[in-house]
Amino acid sequence: MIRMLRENRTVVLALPVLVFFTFFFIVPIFTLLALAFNPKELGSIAIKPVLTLENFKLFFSYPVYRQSLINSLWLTSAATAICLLIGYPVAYMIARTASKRVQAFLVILVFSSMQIDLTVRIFGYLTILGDNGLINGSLIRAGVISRPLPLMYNSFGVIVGLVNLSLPFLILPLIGIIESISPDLLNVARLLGCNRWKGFMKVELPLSVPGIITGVLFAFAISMSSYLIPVLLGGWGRAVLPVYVYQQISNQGLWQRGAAFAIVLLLTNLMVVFALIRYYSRVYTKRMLAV
Amino acid sequence: MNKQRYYREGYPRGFRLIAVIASALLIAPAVVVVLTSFNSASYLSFPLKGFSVRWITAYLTSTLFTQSFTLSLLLAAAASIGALLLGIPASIALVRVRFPGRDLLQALLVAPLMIPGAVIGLALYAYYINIGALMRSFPGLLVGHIIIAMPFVVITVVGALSNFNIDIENAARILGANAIQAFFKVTLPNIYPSIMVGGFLAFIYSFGQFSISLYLSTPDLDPLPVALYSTLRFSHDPRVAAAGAVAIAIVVSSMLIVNRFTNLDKWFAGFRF
Repeated sequence: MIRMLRENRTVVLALPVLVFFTFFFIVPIFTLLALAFNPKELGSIAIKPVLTLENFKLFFSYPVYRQSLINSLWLTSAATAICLLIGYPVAYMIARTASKRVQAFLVILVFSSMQIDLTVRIFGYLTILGDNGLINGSLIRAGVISRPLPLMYNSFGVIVGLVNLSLPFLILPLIGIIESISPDLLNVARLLGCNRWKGFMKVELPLSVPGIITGVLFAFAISMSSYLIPVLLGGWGRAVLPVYVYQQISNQGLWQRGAAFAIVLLLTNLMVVFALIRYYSRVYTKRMLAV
Repeated sequence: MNKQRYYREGYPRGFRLIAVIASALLIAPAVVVVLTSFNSASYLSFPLKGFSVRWITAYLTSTLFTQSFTLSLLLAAAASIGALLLGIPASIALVRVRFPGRDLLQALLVAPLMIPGAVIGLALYAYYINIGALMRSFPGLLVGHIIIAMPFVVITVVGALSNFNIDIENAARILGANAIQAFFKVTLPNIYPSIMVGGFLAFIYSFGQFSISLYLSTPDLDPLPVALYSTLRFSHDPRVAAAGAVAIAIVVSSMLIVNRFTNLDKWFAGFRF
Protein backbone atom coordinates (compact mmCIF):
# COMPACT_ATOMS: atom_id res chain seq x y z
CA MET A 1 0.00 0.00 0.00
CA ILE A 2 1.34 3.34 -0.98
CA ARG A 3 0.36 5.59 1.85
CA MET A 4 2.26 8.82 1.71
CA LEU A 5 1.08 9.52 -1.81
CA ARG A 6 0.62 13.18 -1.16
CA GLU A 7 4.40 13.43 -0.81
CA ASN A 8 4.85 13.34 -4.53
CA ARG A 9 7.94 15.44 -4.33
CA THR A 10 9.73 12.31 -3.11
CA VAL A 11 9.89 11.31 -6.73
CA VAL A 12 12.73 13.74 -7.30
CA LEU A 13 14.92 11.25 -5.48
CA ALA A 14 14.81 9.18 -8.63
CA LEU A 15 16.11 12.01 -10.78
CA PRO A 16 19.87 11.64 -10.25
CA VAL A 17 19.88 7.99 -11.27
CA LEU A 18 17.57 8.74 -14.16
CA VAL A 19 19.94 11.38 -15.46
CA PHE A 20 22.92 9.12 -14.95
CA PHE A 21 21.32 6.20 -16.73
CA THR A 22 20.04 8.34 -19.54
CA PHE A 23 23.46 9.74 -20.30
CA PHE A 24 25.52 6.65 -19.71
CA PHE A 25 23.20 3.80 -20.53
CA ILE A 26 20.27 4.76 -22.74
CA VAL A 27 22.12 7.18 -24.99
CA PRO A 28 25.13 4.93 -25.56
CA ILE A 29 22.92 1.96 -26.38
CA PHE A 30 20.93 4.09 -28.79
CA THR A 31 24.16 5.41 -30.27
CA LEU A 32 25.16 1.85 -30.97
CA LEU A 33 21.76 1.01 -32.37
CA ALA A 34 21.73 4.09 -34.57
CA LEU A 35 24.86 2.77 -36.21
CA ALA A 36 22.80 -0.12 -37.49
CA PHE A 37 20.97 2.19 -39.85
CA ASN A 38 24.14 3.68 -41.25
CA PRO A 39 25.81 2.35 -44.36
CA LYS A 40 28.81 0.23 -43.59
CA GLU A 41 32.14 1.94 -43.20
CA LEU A 42 35.27 0.12 -42.32
CA GLY A 43 36.62 0.95 -38.90
CA SER A 44 34.42 3.93 -38.21
CA ILE A 45 32.09 4.38 -35.28
CA ALA A 46 31.04 7.92 -36.06
CA ILE A 47 27.34 8.37 -36.63
CA LYS A 48 26.40 9.63 -40.06
CA PRO A 49 23.07 11.26 -40.84
CA VAL A 50 22.29 8.68 -43.48
CA LEU A 51 19.57 6.09 -43.05
CA THR A 52 19.64 2.75 -44.74
CA LEU A 53 18.38 -0.77 -44.20
CA GLU A 54 21.20 -2.42 -46.08
CA ASN A 55 22.69 -4.02 -43.00
CA PHE A 56 19.43 -5.70 -42.10
CA LYS A 57 18.88 -6.86 -45.66
CA LEU A 58 22.34 -8.33 -45.61
CA PHE A 59 21.58 -10.24 -42.46
CA PHE A 60 18.48 -11.90 -43.79
CA SER A 61 19.91 -12.64 -47.19
CA TYR A 62 22.67 -14.93 -46.00
CA PRO A 63 21.57 -18.41 -44.84
CA VAL A 64 24.53 -18.47 -42.45
CA TYR A 65 23.22 -15.51 -40.51
CA ARG A 66 19.61 -16.65 -40.58
CA GLN A 67 20.72 -20.03 -39.30
CA SER A 68 22.58 -18.39 -36.44
CA LEU A 69 19.36 -16.77 -35.30
CA ILE A 70 17.59 -20.12 -35.36
CA ASN A 71 20.50 -21.69 -33.49
CA SER A 72 20.28 -18.96 -30.89
CA LEU A 73 16.59 -19.52 -30.41
CA TRP A 74 16.65 -23.26 -30.11
CA LEU A 75 19.79 -23.48 -27.97
CA THR A 76 18.48 -20.81 -25.62
CA SER A 77 15.05 -22.40 -25.41
CA ALA A 78 16.52 -25.82 -24.66
CA ALA A 79 18.85 -24.40 -22.04
CA THR A 80 16.06 -22.38 -20.40
CA ALA A 81 13.71 -25.37 -20.35
CA ILE A 82 16.38 -27.49 -18.66
CA CYS A 83 17.07 -24.66 -16.23
CA LEU A 84 13.42 -24.58 -15.30
CA LEU A 85 13.21 -28.33 -14.80
CA ILE A 86 16.25 -28.63 -12.58
CA GLY A 87 16.13 -25.18 -11.05
CA TYR A 88 12.59 -25.26 -9.72
CA PRO A 89 13.32 -28.00 -7.18
CA VAL A 90 16.34 -26.08 -5.95
CA ALA A 91 14.29 -22.92 -5.46
CA TYR A 92 11.61 -25.00 -3.80
CA MET A 93 14.05 -26.54 -1.38
CA ILE A 94 15.63 -23.21 -0.49
CA ALA A 95 12.18 -21.76 0.16
CA ARG A 96 10.74 -24.67 2.10
CA THR A 97 13.51 -26.41 3.95
CA ALA A 98 13.43 -26.26 7.72
CA SER A 99 17.17 -26.87 7.99
CA LYS A 100 19.12 -23.64 8.08
CA ARG A 101 22.25 -25.41 7.01
CA VAL A 102 20.76 -26.84 3.84
CA GLN A 103 19.29 -23.49 3.03
CA ALA A 104 22.57 -21.68 3.65
CA PHE A 105 24.49 -24.19 1.57
CA LEU A 106 22.17 -23.94 -1.41
CA VAL A 107 21.85 -20.18 -1.26
CA ILE A 108 25.59 -19.65 -1.08
CA LEU A 109 26.02 -22.12 -3.92
CA VAL A 110 23.58 -20.25 -6.13
CA PHE A 111 24.92 -16.81 -5.31
CA SER A 112 28.54 -17.83 -5.69
CA SER A 113 27.83 -19.29 -9.11
CA MET A 114 26.45 -15.96 -10.12
CA GLN A 115 29.37 -13.95 -8.82
CA ILE A 116 32.29 -16.09 -9.94
CA ASP A 117 33.71 -14.76 -13.14
CA LEU A 118 32.39 -16.55 -16.19
CA THR A 119 35.86 -17.12 -17.54
CA VAL A 120 36.72 -19.15 -14.47
CA ARG A 121 33.59 -21.27 -14.80
CA ILE A 122 34.22 -21.90 -18.47
CA PHE A 123 37.76 -22.92 -17.68
CA GLY A 124 36.32 -25.45 -15.25
CA TYR A 125 34.00 -26.84 -17.92
CA LEU A 126 36.80 -27.09 -20.43
CA THR A 127 38.60 -29.28 -17.96
CA ILE A 128 35.54 -31.41 -17.22
CA LEU A 129 34.12 -31.91 -20.69
CA GLY A 130 37.25 -32.06 -22.80
CA ASP A 131 38.44 -35.16 -24.60
CA ASN A 132 41.14 -35.63 -21.98
CA GLY A 133 39.08 -34.11 -19.28
CA LEU A 134 37.56 -35.37 -16.10
CA ILE A 135 34.58 -37.26 -17.49
CA ASN A 136 36.22 -38.79 -20.52
CA GLY A 137 39.44 -39.49 -18.68
CA SER A 138 37.76 -41.41 -15.87
CA LEU A 139 35.43 -43.31 -18.17
CA ILE A 140 38.27 -44.37 -20.43
CA ARG A 141 40.45 -45.45 -17.57
CA ALA A 142 37.60 -47.40 -16.02
CA GLY A 143 37.28 -49.17 -19.32
CA VAL A 144 33.68 -48.14 -19.91
CA ILE A 145 34.38 -46.52 -23.26
CA SER A 146 37.32 -46.74 -25.60
CA ARG A 147 37.03 -43.41 -27.36
CA PRO A 148 36.22 -40.07 -25.76
CA LEU A 149 32.61 -38.91 -25.87
CA PRO A 150 32.10 -35.68 -27.75
CA LEU A 151 30.93 -33.54 -24.85
CA MET A 152 32.36 -30.31 -26.07
CA TYR A 153 32.48 -28.24 -29.26
CA ASN A 154 28.89 -29.15 -29.99
CA SER A 155 25.38 -28.31 -28.85
CA PHE A 156 25.69 -30.43 -25.73
CA GLY A 157 28.61 -28.44 -24.39
CA VAL A 158 26.92 -25.15 -25.20
CA ILE A 159 23.70 -26.14 -23.48
CA VAL A 160 25.54 -27.33 -20.38
CA GLY A 161 27.38 -24.02 -20.26
CA LEU A 162 24.23 -21.98 -20.82
CA VAL A 163 22.40 -23.87 -18.09
CA ASN A 164 25.24 -23.17 -15.68
CA LEU A 165 25.14 -19.50 -16.67
CA SER A 166 21.42 -18.85 -16.31
CA LEU A 167 20.44 -21.27 -13.54
CA PRO A 168 21.06 -18.79 -10.69
CA PHE A 169 19.03 -16.15 -12.47
CA LEU A 170 16.10 -18.50 -12.76
CA ILE A 171 16.30 -19.75 -9.19
CA LEU A 172 16.57 -16.44 -7.35
CA PRO A 173 13.21 -14.87 -8.30
CA LEU A 174 11.48 -18.20 -7.75
CA ILE A 175 12.61 -18.45 -4.14
CA GLY A 176 10.78 -15.31 -3.10
CA ILE A 177 7.56 -16.29 -4.82
CA ILE A 178 7.51 -19.80 -3.42
CA GLU A 179 8.17 -18.48 0.06
CA SER A 180 5.13 -16.27 -0.22
CA ILE A 181 2.82 -19.21 -0.82
CA SER A 182 1.32 -20.12 2.52
CA PRO A 183 1.93 -23.74 3.53
CA ASP A 184 -1.60 -23.82 4.86
CA LEU A 185 -2.84 -24.04 1.32
CA LEU A 186 -0.99 -27.27 0.80
CA ASN A 187 -2.23 -28.58 4.13
CA VAL A 188 -5.79 -27.92 3.09
CA ALA A 189 -5.24 -29.77 -0.17
CA ARG A 190 -3.82 -32.74 1.70
CA LEU A 191 -6.76 -32.70 4.10
CA LEU A 192 -9.09 -32.81 1.14
CA GLY A 193 -7.43 -35.97 -0.08
CA CYS A 194 -4.58 -35.10 -2.46
CA ASN A 195 -1.30 -36.94 -2.26
CA ARG A 196 1.89 -34.91 -2.07
CA TRP A 197 2.54 -34.66 -5.78
CA LYS A 198 -1.04 -33.77 -6.65
CA GLY A 199 -1.07 -31.18 -3.90
CA PHE A 200 1.99 -29.63 -5.46
CA MET A 201 0.64 -29.68 -9.00
CA LYS A 202 -2.75 -28.29 -8.17
CA VAL A 203 -1.87 -25.75 -5.51
CA GLU A 204 1.74 -24.69 -5.33
CA LEU A 205 2.76 -24.87 -8.96
CA PRO A 206 0.00 -22.61 -10.34
CA LEU A 207 0.62 -20.09 -7.58
CA SER A 208 4.31 -19.98 -8.40
CA VAL A 209 3.80 -19.17 -12.07
CA PRO A 210 4.65 -15.46 -11.67
CA GLY A 211 8.01 -16.50 -10.30
CA ILE A 212 8.47 -18.99 -13.12
CA ILE A 213 7.81 -16.30 -15.68
CA THR A 214 10.21 -13.86 -14.04
CA GLY A 215 12.90 -16.49 -13.78
CA VAL A 216 12.42 -17.68 -17.35
CA LEU A 217 12.60 -14.09 -18.58
CA PHE A 218 15.92 -13.55 -16.87
CA ALA A 219 17.36 -16.89 -17.89
CA PHE A 220 16.27 -16.53 -21.51
CA ALA A 221 17.64 -13.00 -21.87
CA ILE A 222 20.98 -13.98 -20.44
CA SER A 223 21.39 -17.18 -22.44
CA MET A 224 20.36 -15.51 -25.66
CA SER A 225 22.98 -12.80 -25.40
CA SER A 226 25.82 -14.99 -24.23
CA TYR A 227 28.88 -14.84 -26.43
CA LEU A 228 31.66 -16.51 -24.50
CA ILE A 229 29.92 -19.83 -23.92
CA PRO A 230 28.93 -20.63 -27.49
CA VAL A 231 32.40 -19.67 -28.68
CA LEU A 232 34.52 -21.40 -26.08
CA LEU A 233 32.34 -24.48 -25.56
CA GLY A 234 30.65 -24.78 -28.93
CA GLY A 235 33.32 -24.43 -31.53
CA TRP A 236 32.21 -23.02 -34.85
CA GLY A 237 29.78 -25.68 -35.93
CA ARG A 238 26.79 -24.17 -34.19
CA ALA A 239 27.34 -20.45 -34.34
CA VAL A 240 24.84 -18.25 -32.58
CA LEU A 241 23.95 -14.68 -33.33
CA PRO A 242 26.13 -12.94 -30.71
CA VAL A 243 29.14 -14.64 -32.28
CA TYR A 244 28.45 -12.93 -35.59
CA VAL A 245 27.79 -9.63 -33.87
CA TYR A 246 31.23 -9.81 -32.36
CA GLN A 247 32.76 -11.07 -35.58
CA GLN A 248 31.42 -8.19 -37.60
CA ILE A 249 32.99 -5.75 -35.20
CA SER A 250 36.27 -7.34 -34.29
CA ASN A 251 37.18 -9.24 -37.44
CA GLN A 252 35.57 -7.07 -40.08
CA GLY A 253 35.69 -3.71 -38.34
CA LEU A 254 32.15 -3.11 -39.55
CA TRP A 255 30.44 -1.62 -36.51
CA GLN A 256 27.36 -0.78 -38.52
CA ARG A 257 26.72 -4.40 -39.41
CA GLY A 258 27.49 -5.55 -35.90
CA ALA A 259 24.98 -3.06 -34.53
CA ALA A 260 22.33 -4.24 -36.99
CA PHE A 261 22.89 -7.86 -35.98
CA ALA A 262 22.67 -6.80 -32.35
CA ILE A 263 19.30 -5.16 -33.02
CA VAL A 264 17.98 -8.35 -34.61
CA LEU A 265 19.09 -10.20 -31.49
CA LEU A 266 17.53 -7.64 -29.20
CA LEU A 267 14.22 -7.61 -31.06
CA THR A 268 13.98 -11.38 -31.02
CA ASN A 269 14.63 -11.34 -27.31
CA LEU A 270 12.01 -8.64 -26.75
CA MET A 271 9.44 -10.58 -28.75
CA VAL A 272 9.87 -13.59 -26.50
CA VAL A 273 9.70 -11.42 -23.37
CA PHE A 274 6.62 -9.70 -24.67
CA ALA A 275 4.94 -13.01 -25.49
CA LEU A 276 5.64 -14.31 -21.99
CA ILE A 277 4.28 -11.20 -20.31
CA ARG A 278 1.22 -11.31 -22.53
CA TYR A 279 0.63 -14.92 -21.53
CA TYR A 280 0.91 -13.96 -17.90
CA SER A 281 -1.54 -11.08 -18.02
CA ARG A 282 -4.05 -12.68 -20.37
CA VAL A 283 -4.13 -16.41 -19.90
CA TYR A 284 -2.76 -16.96 -16.43
CA THR A 285 -4.65 -14.19 -14.68
CA LYS A 286 -7.87 -15.19 -16.33
CA ARG A 287 -7.39 -18.80 -15.40
CA MET A 288 -6.60 -17.94 -11.82
CA LEU A 289 -9.66 -15.74 -11.50
CA ALA A 290 -12.01 -18.21 -13.16
CA VAL A 291 -12.00 -20.70 -10.28
CA MET B 1 5.70 -19.30 8.03
CA ASN B 2 5.59 -22.41 10.13
CA LYS B 3 8.44 -24.32 8.61
CA GLN B 4 8.42 -27.03 11.21
CA ARG B 5 4.89 -28.04 10.40
CA TYR B 6 5.61 -27.87 6.74
CA TYR B 7 8.77 -29.85 6.75
CA ARG B 8 6.93 -32.95 7.89
CA GLU B 9 5.22 -32.93 4.54
CA GLY B 10 8.50 -33.43 2.77
CA TYR B 11 9.09 -32.50 -0.81
CA PRO B 12 7.34 -33.80 -3.90
CA ARG B 13 8.95 -37.05 -4.96
CA GLY B 14 12.08 -36.56 -6.99
CA PHE B 15 12.72 -32.97 -5.97
CA ARG B 16 15.59 -33.80 -3.71
CA LEU B 17 17.36 -35.85 -6.39
CA ILE B 18 16.96 -33.14 -9.01
CA ALA B 19 18.17 -30.51 -6.58
CA VAL B 20 21.30 -32.59 -5.99
CA ILE B 21 21.93 -32.85 -9.72
CA ALA B 22 21.46 -29.12 -10.16
CA SER B 23 23.80 -28.39 -7.26
CA ALA B 24 26.42 -30.68 -8.76
CA LEU B 25 26.11 -28.87 -12.06
CA LEU B 26 26.61 -25.51 -10.40
CA ILE B 27 29.46 -26.53 -8.17
CA ALA B 28 31.42 -28.72 -10.59
CA PRO B 29 33.41 -26.07 -12.47
CA ALA B 30 34.47 -24.31 -9.29
CA VAL B 31 35.60 -27.52 -7.63
CA VAL B 32 37.59 -28.54 -10.68
CA VAL B 33 39.33 -25.18 -10.91
CA VAL B 34 40.29 -25.27 -7.26
CA LEU B 35 41.63 -28.81 -7.56
CA THR B 36 43.60 -27.98 -10.71
CA SER B 37 45.28 -25.09 -8.95
CA PHE B 38 46.82 -27.52 -6.50
CA ASN B 39 48.34 -29.51 -9.31
CA SER B 40 52.12 -29.77 -9.07
CA ALA B 41 52.64 -30.25 -12.80
CA SER B 42 53.82 -27.24 -14.76
CA TYR B 43 51.14 -27.50 -17.41
CA LEU B 44 47.38 -27.66 -17.33
CA SER B 45 46.33 -31.22 -16.79
CA PHE B 46 43.75 -33.27 -15.07
CA PRO B 47 43.85 -35.56 -13.15
CA LEU B 48 46.41 -34.22 -10.76
CA LYS B 49 50.00 -35.23 -11.01
CA GLY B 50 50.69 -34.24 -7.46
CA PHE B 51 49.69 -31.85 -4.75
CA SER B 52 51.40 -28.51 -4.55
CA VAL B 53 50.68 -24.94 -3.63
CA ARG B 54 53.43 -23.48 -5.72
CA TRP B 55 51.17 -22.09 -8.43
CA ILE B 56 48.91 -20.40 -5.92
CA THR B 57 51.91 -18.87 -4.19
CA ALA B 58 53.40 -17.79 -7.49
CA TYR B 59 50.18 -16.15 -8.51
CA LEU B 60 49.58 -14.34 -5.26
CA THR B 61 53.06 -12.86 -5.33
CA SER B 62 53.19 -11.94 -8.99
CA THR B 63 52.99 -8.31 -10.05
CA LEU B 64 50.15 -9.31 -12.37
CA PHE B 65 48.05 -10.08 -9.39
CA THR B 66 49.03 -7.35 -6.97
CA GLN B 67 48.65 -4.46 -9.38
CA SER B 68 45.41 -5.63 -10.94
CA PHE B 69 44.04 -6.60 -7.55
CA THR B 70 44.48 -3.09 -6.17
CA LEU B 71 42.86 -1.52 -9.19
CA SER B 72 39.95 -3.94 -9.10
CA LEU B 73 39.52 -3.29 -5.39
CA LEU B 74 39.44 0.49 -5.80
CA LEU B 75 37.17 0.23 -8.80
CA ALA B 76 34.72 -2.07 -7.07
CA ALA B 77 34.65 0.09 -3.94
CA ALA B 78 34.00 3.25 -5.95
CA ALA B 79 31.42 1.52 -8.12
CA SER B 80 29.44 0.10 -5.21
CA ILE B 81 29.48 3.42 -3.37
CA GLY B 82 28.34 5.20 -6.52
CA ALA B 83 25.61 2.65 -7.10
CA LEU B 84 24.43 3.05 -3.51
CA LEU B 85 24.41 6.86 -3.70
CA LEU B 86 22.32 6.80 -6.86
CA GLY B 87 20.30 3.68 -6.21
CA ILE B 88 19.04 4.18 -2.66
CA PRO B 89 17.17 7.44 -3.40
CA ALA B 90 15.82 5.89 -6.57
CA SER B 91 14.56 2.86 -4.66
CA ILE B 92 12.76 5.10 -2.19
CA ALA B 93 11.00 6.84 -5.05
CA LEU B 94 10.20 3.53 -6.73
CA VAL B 95 8.59 2.06 -3.65
CA ARG B 96 6.83 5.07 -2.14
CA VAL B 97 5.51 7.04 -5.08
CA ARG B 98 3.30 5.73 -7.84
CA PHE B 99 4.50 7.84 -10.74
CA PRO B 100 4.01 7.28 -14.47
CA GLY B 101 6.86 5.23 -15.86
CA ARG B 102 7.67 3.67 -12.51
CA ASP B 103 7.74 0.12 -13.81
CA LEU B 104 9.78 1.26 -16.76
CA LEU B 105 12.37 2.90 -14.54
CA GLN B 106 12.60 -0.19 -12.38
CA ALA B 107 13.10 -2.35 -15.45
CA LEU B 108 15.70 0.08 -16.77
CA LEU B 109 17.71 -0.05 -13.56
CA VAL B 110 17.68 -3.84 -13.53
CA ALA B 111 18.31 -4.24 -17.27
CA PRO B 112 22.13 -4.11 -17.08
CA LEU B 113 22.01 -7.46 -15.31
CA MET B 114 20.61 -9.11 -18.41
CA ILE B 115 22.62 -7.35 -21.06
CA PRO B 116 26.04 -8.88 -21.53
CA GLY B 117 28.82 -6.73 -20.16
CA ALA B 118 30.40 -6.78 -23.58
CA VAL B 119 27.45 -4.94 -25.12
CA ILE B 120 27.48 -2.26 -22.42
CA GLY B 121 31.23 -1.93 -22.69
CA LEU B 122 31.04 -1.67 -26.45
CA ALA B 123 28.24 0.88 -26.36
CA LEU B 124 30.06 3.02 -23.83
CA TYR B 125 33.29 2.77 -25.78
CA ALA B 126 31.61 3.91 -29.00
CA TYR B 127 29.81 6.63 -27.08
CA TYR B 128 32.98 7.93 -25.48
CA ILE B 129 34.69 8.12 -28.84
CA ASN B 130 31.75 9.95 -30.35
CA ILE B 131 31.66 12.55 -27.59
CA GLY B 132 35.43 12.68 -27.41
CA ALA B 133 35.84 12.19 -23.69
CA LEU B 134 36.28 9.60 -20.97
CA MET B 135 37.65 6.88 -23.18
CA ARG B 136 40.45 4.83 -21.73
CA SER B 137 40.17 6.56 -18.39
CA PHE B 138 39.37 5.50 -14.87
CA PRO B 139 36.16 7.60 -14.67
CA GLY B 140 34.98 6.07 -17.92
CA LEU B 141 35.62 2.60 -16.56
CA LEU B 142 33.97 3.56 -13.27
CA VAL B 143 30.80 4.69 -15.02
CA GLY B 144 30.47 1.31 -16.68
CA HIS B 145 30.89 -0.49 -13.38
CA ILE B 146 28.30 1.67 -11.63
CA ILE B 147 25.82 0.81 -14.35
CA ILE B 148 26.29 -2.92 -14.02
CA ALA B 149 26.37 -2.83 -10.22
CA MET B 150 23.15 -0.84 -9.96
CA PRO B 151 20.72 -3.79 -10.34
CA PHE B 152 22.08 -5.40 -7.19
CA VAL B 153 21.49 -2.28 -5.13
CA VAL B 154 18.05 -1.58 -6.57
CA ILE B 155 16.72 -5.12 -6.21
CA THR B 156 17.95 -5.35 -2.63
CA VAL B 157 16.79 -1.95 -1.41
CA VAL B 158 13.43 -2.08 -3.21
CA GLY B 159 12.80 -5.43 -1.59
CA ALA B 160 13.78 -4.16 1.83
CA LEU B 161 11.66 -1.03 1.57
CA SER B 162 8.66 -3.00 0.32
CA ASN B 163 8.81 -5.23 3.37
CA PHE B 164 9.38 -2.35 5.74
CA ASN B 165 6.26 -1.38 7.61
CA ILE B 166 5.74 2.24 6.76
CA ASP B 167 3.54 2.78 9.80
CA ILE B 168 6.64 3.07 11.95
CA GLU B 169 7.79 5.98 9.87
CA ASN B 170 4.28 7.46 9.88
CA ALA B 171 4.31 7.27 13.65
CA ALA B 172 7.54 9.22 13.73
CA ARG B 173 6.03 11.83 11.46
CA ILE B 174 2.98 12.15 13.68
CA LEU B 175 5.24 12.64 16.65
CA GLY B 176 6.78 15.64 14.93
CA ALA B 177 9.67 14.53 12.77
CA ASN B 178 9.92 15.91 9.26
CA ALA B 179 10.41 13.59 6.31
CA ILE B 180 14.19 13.66 6.35
CA GLN B 181 14.49 13.10 10.09
CA ALA B 182 11.99 10.28 9.97
CA PHE B 183 13.91 8.56 7.24
CA PHE B 184 17.33 8.84 8.77
CA LYS B 185 16.32 8.06 12.32
CA VAL B 186 13.67 5.41 11.72
CA THR B 187 13.75 3.81 8.29
CA LEU B 188 17.44 3.81 7.58
CA PRO B 189 18.52 1.96 10.74
CA ASN B 190 15.97 -0.71 9.92
CA ILE B 191 16.95 -1.32 6.32
CA TYR B 192 20.64 -0.84 7.01
CA PRO B 193 21.44 -4.60 6.74
CA SER B 194 19.84 -4.80 3.32
CA ILE B 195 21.80 -1.80 2.15
CA MET B 196 24.98 -3.51 3.28
CA VAL B 197 24.01 -6.63 1.37
CA GLY B 198 23.19 -4.65 -1.76
CA GLY B 199 26.45 -2.76 -1.60
CA PHE B 200 28.37 -5.92 -0.94
CA LEU B 201 26.81 -7.80 -3.85
CA ALA B 202 27.57 -4.81 -6.06
CA PHE B 203 31.16 -4.84 -4.86
CA ILE B 204 31.72 -8.53 -5.53
CA TYR B 205 30.07 -8.35 -8.92
CA SER B 206 32.13 -5.36 -9.99
CA PHE B 207 35.28 -7.02 -8.73
CA GLY B 208 34.70 -10.04 -10.92
CA GLN B 209 33.45 -8.24 -14.01
CA PHE B 210 35.52 -8.93 -17.02
CA SER B 211 33.69 -8.19 -20.26
CA ILE B 212 33.01 -4.54 -19.61
CA SER B 213 36.51 -3.89 -18.37
CA LEU B 214 37.94 -5.40 -21.50
CA TYR B 215 36.52 -2.61 -23.62
CA LEU B 216 36.98 0.26 -21.23
CA SER B 217 40.20 -0.46 -19.40
CA THR B 218 43.03 1.99 -19.28
CA PRO B 219 46.07 1.11 -21.33
CA ASP B 220 48.50 0.96 -18.46
CA LEU B 221 46.55 -0.95 -15.88
CA ASP B 222 44.16 -3.82 -16.31
CA PRO B 223 41.59 -4.88 -13.78
CA LEU B 224 42.17 -8.36 -12.46
CA PRO B 225 39.80 -10.38 -14.66
CA VAL B 226 41.16 -8.78 -17.83
CA ALA B 227 44.70 -9.68 -16.88
CA LEU B 228 43.41 -13.17 -16.13
CA TYR B 229 41.74 -13.44 -19.52
CA SER B 230 44.85 -12.32 -21.34
CA THR B 231 46.87 -14.97 -19.62
CA LEU B 232 44.27 -17.62 -20.39
CA ARG B 233 44.30 -16.74 -24.05
CA PHE B 234 47.97 -16.66 -24.71
CA SER B 235 49.41 -19.39 -22.61
CA HIS B 236 48.40 -22.51 -20.79
CA ASP B 237 49.89 -21.24 -17.60
CA PRO B 238 48.73 -23.13 -14.52
CA ARG B 239 48.72 -19.82 -12.70
CA VAL B 240 45.41 -19.26 -14.46
CA ALA B 241 43.90 -22.03 -12.39
CA ALA B 242 45.46 -20.44 -9.33
CA ALA B 243 43.91 -17.11 -10.24
CA GLY B 244 40.57 -18.81 -10.65
CA ALA B 245 40.89 -20.57 -7.32
CA VAL B 246 41.71 -17.32 -5.55
CA ALA B 247 38.72 -15.62 -7.17
CA ILE B 248 36.46 -18.47 -6.10
CA ALA B 249 37.80 -18.32 -2.56
CA ILE B 250 37.11 -14.59 -2.37
CA VAL B 251 33.56 -14.97 -3.64
CA VAL B 252 32.60 -17.94 -1.47
CA SER B 253 34.01 -16.47 1.71
CA SER B 254 32.23 -13.20 1.01
CA MET B 255 28.96 -15.04 0.52
CA LEU B 256 29.49 -16.93 3.76
CA ILE B 257 30.01 -13.66 5.60
CA VAL B 258 26.97 -12.04 4.02
CA ASN B 259 24.76 -15.02 4.73
CA ARG B 260 25.88 -14.99 8.33
CA PHE B 261 24.36 -11.57 8.82
CA THR B 262 21.29 -11.64 6.64
CA ASN B 263 18.78 -13.81 4.80
CA LEU B 264 20.14 -14.09 1.30
CA ASP B 265 17.21 -16.24 0.24
CA LYS B 266 14.97 -13.23 0.65
CA TRP B 267 17.05 -11.15 -1.73
CA PHE B 268 14.61 -11.11 -4.58
CA ALA B 269 11.58 -11.24 -2.32
CA GLY B 270 10.09 -7.77 -2.58
CA PHE B 271 10.67 -7.42 -6.27
CA ARG B 272 7.74 -7.46 -8.67
CA PHE B 273 7.43 -6.92 -12.36
